[in-house]
Amino acid sequence: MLSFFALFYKELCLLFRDKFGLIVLFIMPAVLVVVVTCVQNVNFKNSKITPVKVLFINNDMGKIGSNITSKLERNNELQLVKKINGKSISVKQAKKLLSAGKYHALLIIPQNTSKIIGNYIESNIKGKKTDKPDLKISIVFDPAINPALASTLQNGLKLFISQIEIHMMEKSIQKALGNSISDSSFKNPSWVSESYVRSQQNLQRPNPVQQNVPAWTLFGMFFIVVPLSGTLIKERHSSVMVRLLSTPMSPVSFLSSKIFAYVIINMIQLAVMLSMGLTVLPWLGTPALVLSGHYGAICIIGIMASLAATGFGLLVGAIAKSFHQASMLGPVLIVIAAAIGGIMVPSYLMPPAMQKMIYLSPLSWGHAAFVNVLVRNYGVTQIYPQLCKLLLFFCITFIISIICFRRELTRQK
Amino acid sequence: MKSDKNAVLMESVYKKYIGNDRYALDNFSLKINKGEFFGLLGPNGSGKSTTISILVGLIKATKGKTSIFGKNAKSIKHKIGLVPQEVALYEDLTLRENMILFARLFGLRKNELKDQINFALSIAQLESVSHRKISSFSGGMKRRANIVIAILHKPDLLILDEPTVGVDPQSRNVIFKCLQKLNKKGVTMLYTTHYLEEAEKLCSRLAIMDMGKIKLKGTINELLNSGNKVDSLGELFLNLTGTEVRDF
Repeated sequence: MLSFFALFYKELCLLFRDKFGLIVLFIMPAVLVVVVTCVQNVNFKNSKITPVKVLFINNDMGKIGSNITSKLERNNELQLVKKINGKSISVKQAKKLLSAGKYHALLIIPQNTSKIIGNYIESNIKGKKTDKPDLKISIVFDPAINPALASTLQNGLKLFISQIEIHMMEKSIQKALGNSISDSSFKNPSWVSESYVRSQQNLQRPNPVQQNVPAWTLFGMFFIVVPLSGTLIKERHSSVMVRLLSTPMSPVSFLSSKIFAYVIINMIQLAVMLSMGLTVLPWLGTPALVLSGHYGAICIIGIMASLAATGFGLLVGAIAKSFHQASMLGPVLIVIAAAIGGIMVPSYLMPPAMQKMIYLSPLSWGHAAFVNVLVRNYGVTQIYPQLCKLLLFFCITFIISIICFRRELTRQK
Repeated sequence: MKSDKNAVLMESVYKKYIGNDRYALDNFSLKINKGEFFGLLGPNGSGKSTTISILVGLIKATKGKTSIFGKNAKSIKHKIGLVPQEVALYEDLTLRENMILFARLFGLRKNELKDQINFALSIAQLESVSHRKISSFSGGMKRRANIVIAILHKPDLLILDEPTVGVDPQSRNVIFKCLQKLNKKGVTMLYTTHYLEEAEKLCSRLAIMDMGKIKLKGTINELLNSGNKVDSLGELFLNLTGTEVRDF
C-alpha cells in the first residue's frame, strides 16, 4: 500500500508539473465548450425565436390574399414586410433584396387568385368538368436559408392555402345545399397534440448546453491519453523502469497508481466543466446547465468514462514505440472517436451508414449516458448498458496493456 | 553452507534472447564473496548487462542456477541496490522527491526514511541540491544522484553498471570515495566498467568476460601473472578479447 501511495503521489507531481498536459486537459475542453455552445446557442435562438423575414407581394384583391395576409401577420415567427420606405415592393426589387441576403423569403400572390380558385371550386361542386387553372402562388427563398426552415415555411404556406380552400368549399357546399348543414360540421378540430416525453415534471428541454457540456467534457477527459501514454513511454524507454522493476514494487501497484491518479484528474475535469455549464455559460448568454440533482449518476458516469479513458491511455502507452508516435496516435484516435461518436456532429445529421458506427465509439457510450440522465431524466439502473460498455472497454484495454507491457519488459536487455 | 559466504553465485548459466542465434551467456559461472569489491570487465556485447539483469531478476536465465545470498533474486530485492548504466531518475521531480519515492518502494518509513536520505545525500555530497529538479543537474551530479537512490535502502549487494560514464574527475572522485566507504561498511560490490584504471583502483578481484563467458578471473596480481606475458591490465584485456571493434 505504501508503494501504491508513493507511485500515486509521483504521478500527480509529474502531471501537475506538465504545463502542456494541463493545457490539453483543462483549457482545451473549456474553450471548446464555450465556443461550440455559444455558436450553437445562436443558431438555436435563430431557429426558435428570431422571426423569419418574409417579403410579401399581394396582388390579389380578394379573400385569399387578405386571409393569407392576416394569418401570416398573426404568426410570431414571421416578420412580414409588405412595403419598403412606405412604397410597395416590386418583384425585381424583392428578388434583389433576397439575393443580397437581407430577407429569408419572398411570397407572391398573383392577381385574381381568389376569383380563379373560387370559380374552380364552385364549378367542381356543381359537377362541371373544369381544367385546373394556371395559377401559381410562388415562394422564393434566399439561397443561404437553412433547408429545414425553408421546408417549414413552404409547408406552413401550403397549410394556410388548404385551410382557406376548405373554407371556401364549405361555403360553396352550404350555398348548394341550403342551410341544412351547420357551420360547426366543418370546424376543423386539431387531432394532433404536441408534447415531449418526460419521466418527471419540471425538466428542461434539450438545448446546446445540455448537449455540449457533457460531450466536450468527455472529449477532454479522453485527452488524458496524451500525458498518460507519454509518461508511460518515457518510463518504458528510460532506465527508470529497470530501477522500478528492481524494487519490490508490484506491476499492479504501478499501473493501478496511474489509473487512480488519472481518474482523480478526470473527476476534477468533470467538476470544472460542469461548473462552467452552471456558472460561466449563463453569463455568456446561454441557458444554464441543468443537473436536476443527478449528482450520483453523473459521478458514476464520470468514473466509468475515466476508467475507459485511462485504459485507452495505458494501451496507447503500451503499444506505441516512441513518445512521438503516442503523441500523434492518441489525439488522432480520440478525434476520430469523437467524430464518429456524435460529439462533434449530432448523430442525426450523419448518413445512415455512419450512424451505425456511433456505437463503436466509447465517447458515444459516455455521451449517451449523460444525455439519458440530463435530458431523459434516467436513473443509474437505466443507463447500465452504457456503463457496462465503458467498464468492459476499460477491462479489455487494461488486459491488453498488461500483456503488451510484460512482453516489452521481457524484451528489455 | 557455501551460500553463507557467497554474495553472488551463478552456475552454468545460459541465456539466449528470442530471435537471436548467439548465446548472450554461454555456460557462465561466477562467484562473488560477501564484502568483496568485484569488477566485471568486458567489451560491448560481452554479456555484462545480461548478467546484471539476471542477478536483479529483470530477466530469466534460459538454463542454470543463480542465487544471491543463497536465495532467488526476486525474493530478496530489498538486499540488492542497482545503479543502471543510464541515469534512472524522474527528471521532473526533485532529487529529494525521487529519493522519497524509491525509499518508499523499498518500504522505508518515517525516521528511517529521513535518516537514510540524509546519509545518502551526505555521502554523495548532494545535500545542498536535494530540492532541485534532476533536469537542472549537471552530468556528474546526475551520476551521483543515480548512486544515491540505489543505496537508500541499505543494500547488502550493490550492482553498478558502468556508473562513471561521462563523469568529470571531481565527481568521479566523490563516487569512488562513496563506494569505498560503503564497501568498508560491508556492502558487497559488483562493478562493471570499461575504464580499466577504475577497476584496478577499486576492485579486490576481477573477471574479464567475452562472448558470454568468463575468460579470466582473480586478483589483479593473479591476472597479470597468469602467463599472458603482459605489463598492464589494458594489454591483458585486449589479449583476451581481441582488438576488433564490437558493433552490437
